[in-house]
Amino acid sequence: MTLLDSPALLPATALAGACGAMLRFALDRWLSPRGVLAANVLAALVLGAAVPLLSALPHAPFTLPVAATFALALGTFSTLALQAVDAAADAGTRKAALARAARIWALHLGLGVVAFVVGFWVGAWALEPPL
Amino acid sequence: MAEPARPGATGPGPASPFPTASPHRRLPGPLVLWVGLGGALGVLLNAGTHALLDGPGAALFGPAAGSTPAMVVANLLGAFLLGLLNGRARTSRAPWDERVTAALGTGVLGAYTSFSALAALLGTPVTAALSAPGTASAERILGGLGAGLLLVAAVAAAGTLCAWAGLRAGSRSGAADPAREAAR
Repeated sequence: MTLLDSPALLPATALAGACGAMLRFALDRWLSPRGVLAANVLAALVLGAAVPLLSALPHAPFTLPVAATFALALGTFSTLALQAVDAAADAGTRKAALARAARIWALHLGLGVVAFVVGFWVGAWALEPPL
Repeated sequence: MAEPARPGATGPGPASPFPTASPHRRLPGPLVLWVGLGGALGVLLNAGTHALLDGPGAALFGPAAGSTPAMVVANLLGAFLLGLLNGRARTSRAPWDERVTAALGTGVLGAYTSFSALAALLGTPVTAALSAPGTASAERILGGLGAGLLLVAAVAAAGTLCAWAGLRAGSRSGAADPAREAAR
């Protein structure tokens, strides 16, 4: 579904974006200095769970974009890139700078992928729990 | 936008002027609303970027949803702009209004860029195998993972470079501010 298909989709995605950004801000305050990591992992988990779960439920063309937009706003790439730059800035050598930046990316992406897969599995399980 | 370093934080990097630090970790209501406002604008700008690059009929989600190039462009542009904003704010003589940094940095640019799409790019070969066991061979899964990993590593490296370039450009323009020079 595109933004042009449903008049309600535009305000719904904007609201989802607002909620995602506010939750990220709150997590960053509460869990500093690991708030961005928590927000990114949670965003991947939400997106992973939303794909199988919402696809199989009614109104998927509406609910799936809204959930995906919430995940988009909850996670952040730009802050992560800046964190990598700041971490590298303190390193004494170029090699150490690269290692620090790579460690940050690896941590976020590694946990993010695991969260996405776990979320997907949970979402699929919620649809058809084993009896 | 969560900041890389803040007063009281243990992370490396220079102190950030952005409003995420609080010894009591209380959430100031008005600031949260500014972040929300920025977040709403950020996701709409992201949808606009996808519409611009993928066509106005680009779906928000699904197989036809925003293309990978559009996601990459949004992420790199957002990383550069956040670096620029931070560079300006860090070198500014007068502290920036918290509402501006919350709305623009944490809100707009934080929401404009996407981490979850990168995680999905890497996770999808695995979940595809989970949802249809037996149809995907281990080689295919590993091949998909490898291709995704290369792309994600390249985007991460380019994003870091863009943030660094933005930070430098912002610091220079902040240092060249006439008001700042006059104050020296």
